Amino acid sequence: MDPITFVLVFFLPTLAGRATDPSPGFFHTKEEARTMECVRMSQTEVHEREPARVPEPPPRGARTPSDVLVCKRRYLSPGERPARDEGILSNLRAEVSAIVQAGSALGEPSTVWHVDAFYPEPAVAQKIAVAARTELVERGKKVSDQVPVLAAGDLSVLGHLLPQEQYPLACARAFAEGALAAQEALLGVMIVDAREAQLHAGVCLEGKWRWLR
Amino acid sequence: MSRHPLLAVAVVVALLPGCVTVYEPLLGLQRPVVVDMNAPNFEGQKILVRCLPNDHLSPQDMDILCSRTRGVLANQGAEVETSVPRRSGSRAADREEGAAPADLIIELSGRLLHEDNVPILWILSYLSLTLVPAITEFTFAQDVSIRDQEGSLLIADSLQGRIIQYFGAGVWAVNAALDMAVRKEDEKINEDVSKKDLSRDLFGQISQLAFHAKTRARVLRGFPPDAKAGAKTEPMLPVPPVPPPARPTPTETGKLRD
Repeated sequence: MDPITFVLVFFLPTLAGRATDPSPGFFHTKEEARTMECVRMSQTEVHEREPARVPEPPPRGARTPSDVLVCKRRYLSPGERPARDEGILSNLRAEVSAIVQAGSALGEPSTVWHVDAFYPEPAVAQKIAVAARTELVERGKKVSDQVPVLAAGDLSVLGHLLPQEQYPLACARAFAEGALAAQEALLGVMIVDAREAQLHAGVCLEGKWRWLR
Repeated sequence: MSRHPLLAVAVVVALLPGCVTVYEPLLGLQRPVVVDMNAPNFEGQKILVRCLPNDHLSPQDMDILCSRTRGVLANQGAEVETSVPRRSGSRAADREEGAAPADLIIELSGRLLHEDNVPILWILSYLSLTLVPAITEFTFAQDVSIRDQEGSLLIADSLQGRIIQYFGAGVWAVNAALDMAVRKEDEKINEDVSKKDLSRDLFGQISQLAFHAKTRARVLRGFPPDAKAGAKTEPMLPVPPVPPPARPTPTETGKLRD
C-alpha cells in the first residue's frame, strides 16, 4: 500500500473521528472547548434523564459499566459577563435549592414568605430573587412577590454598616415599623464579600435575624 | 540489507517524542475564579491540607499535590500545614499536641472516572511507523472537602477534567504545524501548556473553594472578631443595599406575578 493511500485509509479517518469530541485540538480551539460544559456521568444516570437519546445500560455483569460524556453549550461565552456573576448564575439552582431547603424549615405552614436579594448587579439580584421565590412555591410555601420596604432614613443608616450588623438591624426595623408582620418571613439572599461567588442567606422572622449559611 | 534502513527508521521513529497532550476542563474546573490568587485572601488563617492517596495516586503523587497547594495558599497569606497519610484509612495525628487547631481543614482526594486505551490503535500506530496516532484518554475527578476547626463540613465539591494523549509522529507534526502557523500563544497545545492550564484551573478552584469555606464559617459563627489580627475585624467589603423597588401592584398572595 503506498503511503498516500495508507494516510487516506488510516490516518485521516482516525483524526476525523475526533471531530465530534469537544476537547480542544485539531477541530476545536481552547476557546471553543470552554463554551461547552461537559461532565462524565454513568450511562444509567444519563438514560434516566434522556431515555430517547441514550440506550439502557447492559444488565449488571454482562459487560463492564460504561459512562457517557454529557456536554451542553453555554448560553454565554466565557468572559461575556463578570466572573462573579457567571459563578453565581451557573450554579444558581443548586445554591438556591440548598438555601430554601434550610430556610423553609423555619416558620409555620401559614407563614407568608417574602424574598429579597442583595447583590450589586440589579439584573442578577432579580434572577436570584425569582429563583428563590420559585423554589419556595415548589415546596408548597405561600410566597408574596412584594418586598418589605424601609424608610429612607433607615436605609441611609444601614448603608454604612457591615453585613453582620446590616441585616439583623434591618430585620428588627422592618418588624418594628410593621413592614413585616408576625406571620410573615423575609428570606434574604446575599453575598458578604466581593471576592466570593457563593450565596449566603438569612431569615427574618418576628424581628429576629437568623443566618442560614 | 535494504531492510536494515527501514528497521532503523522504525526504531528511531518509535523513540521520537511524538506525544501531544490535551487538557479539557470539565465540571467544576471550568468555573470562573473570582479571588485574586496574589492577594492576601487568607491573612492570619491556619489551614491544614490533607492529601489522601489511593490505588491510582501514590503517596509521592499526593506529596507533590500537597506541596503545590501549600505554596498557592501560603502565597495568599495562609499558614499552611500538610499531611499525607501513608496507610490507607489512617487518620494519624496531623499536628503536634498542644498546637492550635487549624481554622480550615482541606481534604484532597482523586478518582479515576474513565480510562480509554484502544489496543488496535497502538498496533496500527506501530505498523504505520506512528503515522496513525494511538490515543489514550482518562477522566479524573479531584474531590475537595473543607471543614472548620470543629470538623463540620463547610464545602464539598468535585472537580472533573480530561486528559487526552495522542502518540504518533504524524499527529505531532500536524500539531506542531498548527502551533507555529495558526494558533495564538495562549491557544497552543502541548504537554507544558496543558500542565499550566490544569494547574491554573485546579489551584484557582481550590483557592476559591477555600475562600468560600472561610466566609461561610464566619457567617455560621456569627462573624466573630478576628483574634489573630489583634481584635480588628477582617475587612469585609459591604454590599451596597439595593434601592427599594417601586411599590408593586398588589397581587393575590401565594401566586407569583407574571
